[in-house]
Amino acid sequence: MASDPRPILLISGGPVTEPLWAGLAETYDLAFLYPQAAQAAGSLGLPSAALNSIADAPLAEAAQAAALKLTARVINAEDAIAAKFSAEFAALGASQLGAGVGAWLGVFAHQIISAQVGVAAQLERLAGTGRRIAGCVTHEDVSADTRALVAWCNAHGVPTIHVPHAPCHLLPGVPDIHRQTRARYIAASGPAVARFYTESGHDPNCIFITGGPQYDKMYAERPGKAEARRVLAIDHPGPVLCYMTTWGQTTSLRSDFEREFSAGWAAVLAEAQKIGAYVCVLVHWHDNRPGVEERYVQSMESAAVPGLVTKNHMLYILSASDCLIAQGPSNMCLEAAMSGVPSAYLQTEGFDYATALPYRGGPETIGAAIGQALAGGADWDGMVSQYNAVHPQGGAAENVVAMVRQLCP
Amino acid sequence: MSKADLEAANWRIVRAWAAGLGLEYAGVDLADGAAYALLTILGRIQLEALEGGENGE
Repeated sequence: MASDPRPILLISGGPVTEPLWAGLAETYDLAFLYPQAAQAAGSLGLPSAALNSIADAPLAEAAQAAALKLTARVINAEDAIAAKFSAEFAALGASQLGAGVGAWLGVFAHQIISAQVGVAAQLERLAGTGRRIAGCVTHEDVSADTRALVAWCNAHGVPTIHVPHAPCHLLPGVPDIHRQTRARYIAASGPAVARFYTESGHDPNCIFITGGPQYDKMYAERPGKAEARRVLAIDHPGPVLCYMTTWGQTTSLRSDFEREFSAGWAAVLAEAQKIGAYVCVLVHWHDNRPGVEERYVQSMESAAVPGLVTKNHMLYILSASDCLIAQGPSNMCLEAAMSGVPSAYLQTEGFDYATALPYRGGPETIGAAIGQALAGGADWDGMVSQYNAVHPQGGAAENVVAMVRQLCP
Repeated sequence: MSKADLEAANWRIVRAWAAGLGLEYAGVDLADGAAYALLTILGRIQLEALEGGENGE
């Protein structure tokens, strides 16, 4: 008699989940939301498949038809929906913001409904095979596909676990979609992250402090300062600074966006000039503005500040640096501290680390914050422990795998 | 009109725009899944209108 097939674990496939794959695959067959993650797991010899591989032509056609019917409901109600937008903005004296909804509503609805219906239809098909779906692990549940994954599981009694891809530094009381996780359980990387979700209204009994699996690699072998500077061809007698840029995320309107970024960079450049520093500009991977790297190169040349600009080589650049300066309370400050590199960041509205470190300031005071960071002597390990409970040993992936096995028998 | 007022209006829209349309499939609330994308679009439109298109993602 054939043995029962192993249970299936649904998994989003974001990079934070990668350290979990091998451990989870000892117990489960992995069904990935992201096909590229399934491919990567398959290349490691792990029992895995892409969720969408279950979709044959009839299923895809049926899902498309269902999505079109639902989209039609939106398009047929376009005038009423547009009126809701107009009423809200007219009440604020900004009627112009409510105009033109019809130009994008139909396309928006079609895209967002199709994405979710596609995921749900695949999950229905998978459930219909008779294979047992033991649980769901996701690195976020705000975007349409991951939220659909979690919503389907919640509606069908499948345990859902959110392993946040990064700590969120929203100040208490500031509303934001990132507070609104839909998964039942959360694997919090540290006490500060657990507090964030508790403050956001999540049941504290469903939050487990595990450490952050995405940080385990930070404790593996990494280049020393001398090697990193040799590889990057940095031969500079003064301090080496890393400036981490950011990007304009418009799910909220806080920050002054481009003006704020420009003022922050100008202040960092001025400080670099003053202290004779070399600057590595690490451009955020979400910043796709054309010519952005060239803009930084030109401004450094104009200020006669030596340096380099790249979107890559993060570990080497951190290792080569004496201090990281982030535009906003970036999680790079955390990764820098794990590498033994102190940091300071330019503050932005509505966000801050919950800990006294990293040092912080506005354009007028960031120079002093950089000076404090370079002076050394602060308790960076204490700060990191708030965000990664397994610092400095690492090994969070094992904790998360154990949590998943416990919650998803 | 402050940014906080605008954000509050955006959230009211996110919660209400699909009310009564029955946007549900296999137990999935499709309007809830649309929230992130809708907030992003509203934010982009508003930043362009308020600040001349220089800002935002």
